[in-house]
Amino acid sequence: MINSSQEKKIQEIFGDRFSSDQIEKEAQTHDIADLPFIANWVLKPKIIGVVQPINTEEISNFVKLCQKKKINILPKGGSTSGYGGCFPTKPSVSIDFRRMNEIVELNEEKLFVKVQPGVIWQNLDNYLKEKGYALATYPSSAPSATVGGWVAQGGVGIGGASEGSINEQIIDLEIVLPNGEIVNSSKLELEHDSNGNRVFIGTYGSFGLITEIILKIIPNFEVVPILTQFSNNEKAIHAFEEMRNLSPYHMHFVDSTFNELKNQVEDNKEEDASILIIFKNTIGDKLSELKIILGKYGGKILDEEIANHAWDERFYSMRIKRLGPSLTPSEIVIPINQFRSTYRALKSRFKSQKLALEGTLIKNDKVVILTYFLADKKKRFSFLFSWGQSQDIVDIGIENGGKPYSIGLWLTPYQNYIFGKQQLKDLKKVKKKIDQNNIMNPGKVIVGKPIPSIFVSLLILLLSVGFFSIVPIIFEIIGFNLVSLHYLNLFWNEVNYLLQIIVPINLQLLYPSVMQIPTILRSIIPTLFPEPIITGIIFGLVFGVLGNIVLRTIPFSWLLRIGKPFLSLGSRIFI
Amino acid sequence: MINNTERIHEPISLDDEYQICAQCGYCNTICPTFQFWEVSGPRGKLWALREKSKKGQKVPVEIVKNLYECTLCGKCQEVCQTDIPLISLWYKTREQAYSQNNWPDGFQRLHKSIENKHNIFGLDSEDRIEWAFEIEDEVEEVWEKHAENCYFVGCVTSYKGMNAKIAESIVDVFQKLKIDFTMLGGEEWCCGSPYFVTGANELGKKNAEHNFTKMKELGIKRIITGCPGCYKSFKFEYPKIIGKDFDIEVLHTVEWMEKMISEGKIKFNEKDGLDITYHDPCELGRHCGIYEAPRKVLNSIPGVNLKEMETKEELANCCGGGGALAVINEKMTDGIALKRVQEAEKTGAKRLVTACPTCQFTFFKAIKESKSELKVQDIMELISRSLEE
Repeated sequence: MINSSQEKKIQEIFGDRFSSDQIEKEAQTHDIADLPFIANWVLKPKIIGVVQPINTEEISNFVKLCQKKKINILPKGGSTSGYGGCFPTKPSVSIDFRRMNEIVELNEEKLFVKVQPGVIWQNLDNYLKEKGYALATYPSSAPSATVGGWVAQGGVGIGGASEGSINEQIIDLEIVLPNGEIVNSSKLELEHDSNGNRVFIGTYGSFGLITEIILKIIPNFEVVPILTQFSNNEKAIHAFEEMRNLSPYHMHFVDSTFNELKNQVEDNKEEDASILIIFKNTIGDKLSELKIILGKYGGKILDEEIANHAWDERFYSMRIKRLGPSLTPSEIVIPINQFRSTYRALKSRFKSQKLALEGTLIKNDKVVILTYFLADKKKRFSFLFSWGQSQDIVDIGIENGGKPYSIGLWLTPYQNYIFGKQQLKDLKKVKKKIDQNNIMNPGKVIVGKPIPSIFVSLLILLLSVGFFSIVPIIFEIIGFNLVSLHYLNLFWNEVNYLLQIIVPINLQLLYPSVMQIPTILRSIIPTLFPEPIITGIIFGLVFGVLGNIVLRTIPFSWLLRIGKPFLSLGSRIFI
Repeated sequence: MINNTERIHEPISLDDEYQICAQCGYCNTICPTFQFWEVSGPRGKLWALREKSKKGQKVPVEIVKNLYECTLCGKCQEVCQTDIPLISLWYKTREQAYSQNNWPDGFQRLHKSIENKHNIFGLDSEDRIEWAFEIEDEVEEVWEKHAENCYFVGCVTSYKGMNAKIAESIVDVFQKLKIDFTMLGGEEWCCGSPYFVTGANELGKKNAEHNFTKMKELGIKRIITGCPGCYKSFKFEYPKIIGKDFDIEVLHTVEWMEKMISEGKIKFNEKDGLDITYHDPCELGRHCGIYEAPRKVLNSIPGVNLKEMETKEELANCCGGGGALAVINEKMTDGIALKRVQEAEKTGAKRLVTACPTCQFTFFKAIKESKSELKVQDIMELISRSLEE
């Protein structure tokens, strides 16, 4: 929470670019993902204010203030990801970078562009094209994603087949560290961890706020799109594997289910499985090689007009949401030689469902697989279980040598697959060193504990009381008094046993009366509450409180891990 | 993307469309009224409509101001990832807000003006023909006479002095082409567009019935108007209100001119070269799909050199004057108009030509305040000056 004097101080920095408007705060608590109801119950997202800086100095002053007052900071760009990277795990002030949208410098000699973090990727690409240059790569949400947002999230996008990830495009970053200091990342010792990984990229602003980015650019080029079509998905994937040798700028596979769904919402003209392959400037002599591959796998080249349309649609993969009206996505990165086996495993696991799948080639012979299930958020439980399926897809990816595409918040149980144990250890060390108060986007990378809503706390209490009250009653009704008694005896025995384990032996000897507490309670409770239902209620309350303590103590990633088998089971039974 | 013929189609259901929104935010990037606050853009409004609506209060009170701080330009619809018919959706949502009595005070005054004086400015009905002061002799015999063609002037052209030239030019074109026509004169009532735009559709019924009755009395078979707001009302709202009896053809002046040119009924004088740029009015372009007609007409005028702006047709930027935004936030309207004027300046054109009196008025203000050397003009003025006698 921020009090009025803190609010005043924030206002002094940002003036009317600070908002405490309730609806604005609530609108800042999410990204593009449609979340199951349970997410908001368990995590209770809360934004306590929104600031929109226009320069680095403001951010530095703000971070210093937040550090002093222990106010959590949630950095936000275009909020176009669905991983929960900008989902507040603790009450936080949202720092929305979208007003910082200036292109600071274009250096034609050294081929870089220096931009503020709120610049929209598509606007930057348009600007560069006017000057005869282009971005090497950009995200598939370029019409609204910000440069800072994608750098903070990390990942690969359009052009990733030849140009690699966003990580490879960054020459330098200006960062506001958690102590408010403004630094250039290249001059920082801690920019790289012990394995050479960059600390500020793909870590959601957990280690500092990105306030300026220097990006590599390339000379502008003409896009040459070729759209190929195959009557069989697996043959198309075979061809995809071989087509990577043609060194395309970008290559994108869409399976027959996805195309079928797309055709229901637009005049897609792509049928069966299709592969869009993009070359820079000219296809040249690669056309004959392409034709050989197509001949081998029964593929054909579609009209130029359809190919151009497919290229124009590169930002519109969610069109099929109209059929949902919700979608549950999942995204994994796998080695290209595992593409077919992964595809087979996915289709076999979800054979009774419409699993829409697309794959994008990225550098180093890998493929990013994006899948969608159509779902309906209004059907609360089936939507929840549909999210369970998303996690099953990640597991299938891992079984096939892959990993999740990104972590954000929802995939924190898979942290080790993205960062690796050593990197995670290093990151934890850095975090401890530079952000002791854990105010920078808490709960991301370094997993935090959930703060469930009062509703959830009460629900746990209620369920616990309900359960313990009803068991003795049922026993009584069905005439198992002895069993009921046995059940109570077992419970008290358990308490005794636990006490003996927990209480150190010297204390047991020193204070033997402590060990008598359960026995005393055991004799008192039936006297005080002769009715078994009262005993049940007391037990229920005790376990309800314990449940709440556990929920608040275990890391959020554990909670997700515990919930996962239930979701998976639910999805198999109910979907 | 949605094609032009589907532009006016109804959302399948507001609740479903709110759910369908992918929250991708492509709409925010191109929205003229997006002020960086989440709920000032279409994405945030759709989120609030989905997540914060209550039983009996579909439109959350907290976003009513944001809902109306919108020019209804419809550019969001053009980039929407899930093809939500957003133009229709915003209109319907405003209707919902009106039915809840949740709407800005400024509109109460606007509606009172129309109710009492039958025009949006609250001026006397008799003054509606003041624009014709300079050509009084020429048009005197036209008022309320029987004719098949009716020139419907509209409030913004009739009462905004600087727009009088639009009406004078249209009358001039009728006369030069020797086409018999009539005007409703003092009996012309506001077409009802401000009601439809602000969600008070039921109030527009009275105006529609009055205008239709008068038109029938005069034997009118064709309405020609230079105002896209009036055009849209006649074309799409009147048939809903009047029903099957509404059998009058409706043409915007650019459609009318295109027809005349293609039928060879217009001959232009040769003129010296003039660099112009054309602004697509949102209600004519994105709302009704009319992009080709004005360009065909402009390209037919000898000496006119059309230089397109960076954004045009489906993706043309807005003038800021739509959606009755100026009624509640004139400053915002002025800011949007200025940006479009600057975009027009970049083309190097001498004239900013449009086909809407509201666009013309907002540009006129922006040009004056920014001391731009551009001149704003209606397409009919260009035609009138280039027509052979």
